[in-house]
Amino acid sequence: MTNTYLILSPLLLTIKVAFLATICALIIGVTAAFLLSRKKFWGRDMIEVMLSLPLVLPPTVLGYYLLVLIGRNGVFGHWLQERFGLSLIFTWQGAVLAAMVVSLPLVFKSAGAAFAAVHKQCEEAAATLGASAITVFLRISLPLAWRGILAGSMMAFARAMGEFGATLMVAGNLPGRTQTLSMAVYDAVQAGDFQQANFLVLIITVVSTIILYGSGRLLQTTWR
Amino acid sequence: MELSIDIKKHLRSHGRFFDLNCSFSSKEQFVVLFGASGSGKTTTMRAVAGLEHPDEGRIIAGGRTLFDSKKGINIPARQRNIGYLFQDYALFPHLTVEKNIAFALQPTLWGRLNREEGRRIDEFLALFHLADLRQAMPAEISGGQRQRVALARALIRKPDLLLLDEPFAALDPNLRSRLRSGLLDIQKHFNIPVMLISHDPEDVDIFAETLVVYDAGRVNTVVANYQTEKVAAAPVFMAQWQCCAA
Repeated sequence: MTNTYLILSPLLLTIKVAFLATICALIIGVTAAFLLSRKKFWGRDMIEVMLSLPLVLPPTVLGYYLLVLIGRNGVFGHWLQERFGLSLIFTWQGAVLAAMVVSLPLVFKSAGAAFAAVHKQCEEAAATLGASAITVFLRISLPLAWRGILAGSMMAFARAMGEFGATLMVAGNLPGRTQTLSMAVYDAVQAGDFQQANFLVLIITVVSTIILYGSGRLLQTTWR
Repeated sequence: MELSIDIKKHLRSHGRFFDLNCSFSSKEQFVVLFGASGSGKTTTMRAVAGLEHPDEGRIIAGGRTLFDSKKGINIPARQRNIGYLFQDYALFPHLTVEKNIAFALQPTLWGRLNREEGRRIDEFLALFHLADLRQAMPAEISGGQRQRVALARALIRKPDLLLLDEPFAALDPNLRSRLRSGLLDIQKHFNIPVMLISHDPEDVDIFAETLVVYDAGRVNTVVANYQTEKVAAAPVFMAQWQCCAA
């Protein structure tokens, strides 16, 4: 049997990173999707493109952009280092950032579709009944769109779990520190340890299958 | 109720233009906006409710200025206290009949009702013959029942004015005549001023006290005191109707 540490450590790290990345993507993606679906302003299309771009860009390109941004000499990275003495490079927090960027479009796109499907007149009716904008959002729009948002978040979680390229560039592949499941698979194959690789691959496949099935089921049930 | 509307709005969609330029006033309880679809009736009504922002003009209802572009007044929809019945009723599909009505009574983040408000819900459910349907979802009930829920939801807030956008268009003809008399009863019971949109001459015949005839974004004719002036006004009205129907 393979060393449990070699499996357990990347598994726990992967779940932690994917979970936090999904939460961040959820907050940013849902807010952006709601604002973009309800407000018209200059540069709206550009923001939509920017938020969807990680879906099609190679992960290495995203990783490179992240390095430019948060690397030691990067705009934001320099500020973090100067101000707080922090660096995100080669840390699991960096892996969260990379996974978040990569999975953001999945939340953003599905939330956008879910908000677009909410009957606009329901929101208007709520307003004529005296509800404030925040009440309309929390009691009408969000409950009507939550299935689509949850389905998108599950996809985002699955995507974050499998993230490889951008994470490798930002957080590296340090066993016990930043080595996630997909990194561990790569290492195991490189080392010729196929027993280990088979086991890791199986875990990832089973979890992803369950998530895809679940998000598909969620989208099938509707109000009407 | 005194209602005075004088608004202009330039609408543009898919490269087509539409200019609304409407002005009328009424001192009566039942105003009917009549005209072909696309003549600006709904835009006017949405402006009264605060859902549409006119380019310029004034809207005064019951002595309260709701909108005045010159004075920079534009009261938000949620503070206008105007009931709006949408053409398809716009019930909240994820809430039961009872919770739809309760929303109107407590449109806050938590929406908790106190005992007094709970009693008012019961009273309204009974008044609108919805007591057996309180736990039903909007998708499970009939068109006529949905209309009653929407009316109860709008009226429980004691609005100053009730706006009805083609309230009978979504219903089958057999139901219509029954619901028309139901609506008259409700209007008398609550003694509330009503503004109704229709392109059905029968609605005009039954409801109109002030008749406002729309044509291509403009108010063509206003007949005050319509129920007594009916016969005299008929030729004008019929000519308009035929031109709409054509």
